[in-house]
Amino acid sequence: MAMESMGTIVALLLTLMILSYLIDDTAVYRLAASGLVGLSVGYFMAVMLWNVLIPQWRELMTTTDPLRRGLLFLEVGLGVLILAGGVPRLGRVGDLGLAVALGIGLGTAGAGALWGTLGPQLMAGAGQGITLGLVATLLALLTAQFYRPPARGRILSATWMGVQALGRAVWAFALGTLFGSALITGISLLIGRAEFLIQTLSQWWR
Amino acid sequence: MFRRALLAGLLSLIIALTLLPYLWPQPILRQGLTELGSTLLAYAAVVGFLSFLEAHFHRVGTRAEGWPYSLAAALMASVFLLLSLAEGGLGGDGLAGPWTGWIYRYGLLPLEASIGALLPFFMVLALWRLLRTRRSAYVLFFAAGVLTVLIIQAGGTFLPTLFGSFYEALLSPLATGGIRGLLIGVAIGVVVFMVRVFLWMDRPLGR
Repeated sequence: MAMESMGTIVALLLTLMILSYLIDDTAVYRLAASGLVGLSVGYFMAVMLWNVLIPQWRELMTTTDPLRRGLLFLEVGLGVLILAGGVPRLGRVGDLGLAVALGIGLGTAGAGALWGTLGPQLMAGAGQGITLGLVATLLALLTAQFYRPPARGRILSATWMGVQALGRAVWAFALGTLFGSALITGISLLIGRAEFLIQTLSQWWR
Repeated sequence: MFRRALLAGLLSLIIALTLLPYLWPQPILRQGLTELGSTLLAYAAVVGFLSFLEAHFHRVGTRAEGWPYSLAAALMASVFLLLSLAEGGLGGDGLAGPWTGWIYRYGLLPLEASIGALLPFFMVLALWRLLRTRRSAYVLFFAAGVLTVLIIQAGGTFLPTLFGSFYEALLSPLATGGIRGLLIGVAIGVVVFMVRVFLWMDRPLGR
């Protein structure tokens, strides 16, 4: 109970420290923001250690399956190469481990883009015939200039410029809706924090 | 030269190996590669964490401008990690300890939520500045997109009902189509980058 009460006081103070930015960019706000950065980095590192690295080191000590043990040794070996990459003199060795990590990352991202995004999105966009949504998708894609027709004649150039302008308008509208959605998320968080402040302060007031 | 070719060749080989289970289902290979990727990411995170500490403690050591903030960030990161290691011990789970849980619940979560609560102020200010400084039709389209979402999400008012049919017929397909175009564009970019690395046209490694 004492820990909970102390926690509420700490949470209240941290909330006020961050919200003090609404008055000015104060030292108190910067201190709290630095604390957030530090805690986030520490938490991320702890998650990596306790969810990935430590379970594997434990398994390496206990497993009897030779195939599994081989894979775990390979992981630890490449991991040590990556750690060596952090030392300036051994930086070149680390590139081998990074190449494997990057290769897996690129392969997974590419496969995800091909089978997870391109396929379903193209099917969903083109599967209903010619609709306003399909036209908007095509305009947005043409504006990205993956394809640019050769400039031939004034009419063709003017048409292309018109298509580009329409595509940019679609982009602007779509990005505006994303901005609006993010704004609503922020407003929900603001309401949550205000509710927390009001509840905590009113409890103490009684 | 040989080193760069070796790294580029290794990258191509790993990309091909990673793509293989998607074309020819091999669950064991896929699982093994995913595990290998996440493990290497964790090791890279250790390097990143040490670099983070080194950079901030260097700022503290040289008394660079704003060094107390660097000290706060580095101390918070170190203390949280050490605490989780101490609570986890040899056989436990460091993330399930009472003190790490307490810091997460009463430190990290309120800080994240409070920074998120500042977001609407930053965003409204940014939108206001955009409308004031840039005079073009695209800015109006952008503002129209923002207004559309605000109107449709205005619960408890008559606005969603009033604009509902107009939104369904015109604005929703426009927004969905535009976002789909952006998604497809990003996906094409990712695939093109992967193919370029695979064909040695781009070599991100080997300084």
